[in-house]
Amino acid sequence: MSLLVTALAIGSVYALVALAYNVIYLTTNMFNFAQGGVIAVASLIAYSALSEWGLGLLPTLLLCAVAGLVITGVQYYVSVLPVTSRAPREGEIWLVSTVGAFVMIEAGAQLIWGSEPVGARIPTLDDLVWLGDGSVKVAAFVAIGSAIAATVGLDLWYGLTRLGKIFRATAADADAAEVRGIDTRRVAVASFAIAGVLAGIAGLIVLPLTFARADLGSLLVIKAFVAMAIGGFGSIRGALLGGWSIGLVETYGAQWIGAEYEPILVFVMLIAVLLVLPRGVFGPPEGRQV
Amino acid sequence: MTAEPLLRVRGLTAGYGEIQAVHDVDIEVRAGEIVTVLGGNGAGKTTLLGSVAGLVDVFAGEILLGDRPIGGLRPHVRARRGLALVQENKRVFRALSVRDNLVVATPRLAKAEFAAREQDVYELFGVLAEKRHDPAGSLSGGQQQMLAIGQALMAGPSVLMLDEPSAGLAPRLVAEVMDRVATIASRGLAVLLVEQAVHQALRVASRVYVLRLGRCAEQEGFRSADKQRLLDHIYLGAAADGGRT
Amino acid sequence: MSALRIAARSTWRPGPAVRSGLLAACFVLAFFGPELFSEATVRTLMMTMVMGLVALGLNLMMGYAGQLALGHVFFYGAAAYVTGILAVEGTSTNLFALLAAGIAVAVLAALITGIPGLRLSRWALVITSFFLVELMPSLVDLWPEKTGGLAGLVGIPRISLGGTPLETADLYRAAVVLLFLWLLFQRAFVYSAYGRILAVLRHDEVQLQSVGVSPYRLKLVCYLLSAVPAALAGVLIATLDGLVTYEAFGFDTVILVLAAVILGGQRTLYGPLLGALILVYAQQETLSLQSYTLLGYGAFLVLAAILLPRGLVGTAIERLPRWRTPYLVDAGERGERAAAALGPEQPAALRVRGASKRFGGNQALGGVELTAAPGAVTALIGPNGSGKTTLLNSVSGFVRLDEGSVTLGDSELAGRASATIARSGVGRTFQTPSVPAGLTVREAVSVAAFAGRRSGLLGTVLRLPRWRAEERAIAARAADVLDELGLGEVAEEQALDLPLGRKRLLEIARAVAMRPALLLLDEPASGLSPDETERLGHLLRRLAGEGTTVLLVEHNMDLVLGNADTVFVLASGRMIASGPPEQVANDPEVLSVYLGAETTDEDQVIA
Repeated sequence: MSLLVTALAIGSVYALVALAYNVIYLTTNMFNFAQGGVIAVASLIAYSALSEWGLGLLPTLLLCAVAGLVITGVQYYVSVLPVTSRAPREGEIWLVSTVGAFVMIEAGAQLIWGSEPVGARIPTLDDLVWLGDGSVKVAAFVAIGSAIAATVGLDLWYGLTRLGKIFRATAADADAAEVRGIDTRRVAVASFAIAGVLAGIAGLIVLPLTFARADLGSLLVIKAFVAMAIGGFGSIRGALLGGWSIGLVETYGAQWIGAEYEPILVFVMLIAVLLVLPRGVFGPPEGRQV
Repeated sequence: MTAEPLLRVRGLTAGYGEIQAVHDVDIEVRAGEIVTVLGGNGAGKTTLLGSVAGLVDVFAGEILLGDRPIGGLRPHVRARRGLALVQENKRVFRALSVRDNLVVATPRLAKAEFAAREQDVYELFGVLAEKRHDPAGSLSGGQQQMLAIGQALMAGPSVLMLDEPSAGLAPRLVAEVMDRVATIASRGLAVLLVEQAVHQALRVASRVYVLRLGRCAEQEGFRSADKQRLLDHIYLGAAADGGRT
Repeated sequence: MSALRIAARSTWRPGPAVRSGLLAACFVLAFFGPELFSEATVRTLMMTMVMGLVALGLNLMMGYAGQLALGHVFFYGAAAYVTGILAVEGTSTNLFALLAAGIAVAVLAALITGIPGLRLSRWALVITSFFLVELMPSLVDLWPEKTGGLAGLVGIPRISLGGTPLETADLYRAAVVLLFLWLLFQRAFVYSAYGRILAVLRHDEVQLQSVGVSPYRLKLVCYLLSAVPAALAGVLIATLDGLVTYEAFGFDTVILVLAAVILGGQRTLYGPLLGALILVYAQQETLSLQSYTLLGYGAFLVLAAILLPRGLVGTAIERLPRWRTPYLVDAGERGERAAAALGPEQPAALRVRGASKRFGGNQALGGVELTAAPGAVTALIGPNGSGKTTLLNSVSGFVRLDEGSVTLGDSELAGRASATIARSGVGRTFQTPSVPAGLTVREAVSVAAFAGRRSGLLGTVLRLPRWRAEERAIAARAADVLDELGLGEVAEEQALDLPLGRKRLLEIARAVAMRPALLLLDEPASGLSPDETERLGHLLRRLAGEGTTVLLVEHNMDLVLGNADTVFVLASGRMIASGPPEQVANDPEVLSVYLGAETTDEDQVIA
């Protein structure tokens, strides 16, 4: 039981990161690589806030969300907007500029916090809950709850609200949306902002479950990508499913086969899913238009 | 023709990158009019509408909506000020339902006002009402074209621009769409219609411009003119010079 | 117009001899590096060549095939480890044996990530290949006794050639030779039918299938090839310092290689090398400041993407268009060419029987029967949404029928992949024309011949006589078809710059150039001027006269009534009439569903 909760908690972290990627992917068809770096910085800020500045849990949460928002916003204006607003668009050059921004954020974090992992004693989140066969941190339940809440919330928002539909319309055809009176640049900024807040919150949630470290980003990026590939790119539900399956394979794989095989098992799962379901579980149906 | 022009284009030169596709074009559209722009392939019709809507770079000239210049504004701002464009190729949002397509095309409105406009579109295009919950991608080409026009109307525009609404439609549907366009104009909208379906477009037109190699001229007395001569003027001229585009 | 073109032709442009001469001069200069330069410079050059080889591989995949992959650093590392392990264990130190082993391992890794990664989503490869790089430390740690574990593999003996271990200068020369061999290979690969077809791959995979090429296979071939230079680099680096550690093959190196490609210029032959030279030099100057270096790389990537998206070499070629290497040989003057046959080698009839297809609740086709004879123009008309395009798509394999059979001659088409169907003699155009960037009109038409080539990869890169003859034939056929459609005068212009109507003609030209037994045209006249439409009519008659089976979906009644031998009318997924045009045009049912009962001649669509 406690192992299952741990597995789902880790999976939920991956799911949250994948959700942040999906929010941007859905409106702009981009992978904002830098997102992983934002989460790493947010967790380092959470560490500093809790252990050095003596902030409480709620102010820290707020601080992380704002930090995620601000860093992602700046990153959008510096590395995404100048590349996408230029006509004609040069292929997928944004991949290069967002990877560049990722590297900058990670290197910046290393300069400030160093490259060693750091951990903090966190009120409430670090408390243990006894589950009969072992104990897990409260943070694990918080992670699972946040991932479920974010998934359900985003799913409903995209499907039911006017704004959510505007986001989907922009994703489908930005030029047509612009002609219909939709400020597509604002939609892009807003989706980066939502993703930034999600990344900031994810940063705080990660802290009690692992350690905070400057290069946490690249680890999370790859897991989030795998979660998206498994669940289907752009699928909100798929992100949760994908994140949880990675968490389960990692945790139980480490338990039964050996911890050193953990990343290899996830890799094998990715290859297997792509071979059987190349579009992912909730991926878009076969295109009809030719 | 006493009404004030709702759309005025003066000395417009526009194109993509370094390529000029329309040169020094003057066009006026008044309330209640259907102004038809005819032209062969590559004459610059789509570029003309695109530059008025803000999708194409404008190098010189003036665009006035009512009496306000809209030249430097981004496309969505022009749309919100009452300029609606129905693009080529029925660019509706295929994954959204018919109704949601109308929702996203409407500015934030009171519920009653939205319902009234929606009802209006359904009255104009009855088939959309039946299919309001179907995804737009499941509609036929003609129905998608109607939805695209409906989307444009939801914003409550004063000027409606249509880029080849007949393209890819069966002849009977073309006539139906043109009739609806005439109805829309009769309510006081200024309609700028770009077409290749000459006969149908002339049937509803108030005035006609001919665009050739990016230059535009009004065609006087098109109703009485020999249509074959008009066609030759539009197409053969363009074809003879076509290699230089 | 023609005076202008003659003037352009008389201006000097660097021919193949000049280009090869320059390359040879660079080779000589590089080869005698140890005699000419200081030891430190030689080391910089050595590292440049190693990183440059990895970057060349990445560029082949990212630049030319248009598929981002991040795994080349893993291939590089895998080859280095294999070299190290084989040399340490004493299995072999022979250069050729180690090269073979390194390439084999790299290609295997490319297969494992490429097969699942290239199937559908273009992002899957990014993920599988990026994951490979992250996997490196775990893999190394699985067999610590062989790989040296996380501490690294040390004491690797020097590579030998003919039994004698190579000195540093000789190792450097081996690197120069390998690099130039690869450059020659890649140059021959890119400036051939492969380069042209890759432009289509980058642009539109549906179009690629319609000329008979499977995007998946083409991408996989490129990916496997792109692993080779990375493997060469791995073999060289392993014995240079006698040391291999997993840290040399991490994310930082991925960034360095990516930056080299971007800085030098994607889709340029030598750009990645120039990028590698600049970055390797910069890295050696700033070795001590790790985090700052990384910060600098990040800032550099962002700035380069914004300011210099085509890279140094790409931007230079843009400024000097005469240095653009053509992808296809000259067609020769029109008079010198014999008029090529446009019809198929083997005419075949199309038979569609009981074709049914359902999309969700919508019955798009309900038991459709259609026959189109060779040597005739068969038209398919019907109201919008009646299933015409669905029928074309099911014949050409883009839609799978729920029921029914489609045969061309004696072979069954239903259920086969679209690329296979195209190769068996079905050419088609699409409603919305799209043409690849970077190709001239003639080059864009020539891609039709890709699937029918016989010279193969080896014949192409070795420039065998058969390849030459084939290229000339392809060039001539493309020019002929273009003349026939009235596009001859724009044959050397960039296809992307054509107006819409001419792009449509270009698509028709491409389909015709395949010499298909069955030609499917989806509303070819929409957007054409009357005289272009008339020309199209002539072409259809000529094709039919040469034995092609032409199936035309069209709204333009002038074209249909003037040129079709048989007309089929589809309404709501059912065939409601068929017969000679005049009979169908007066059929009361057809008039009511399609033309509209009240319609007069005048109301017909003109264009």
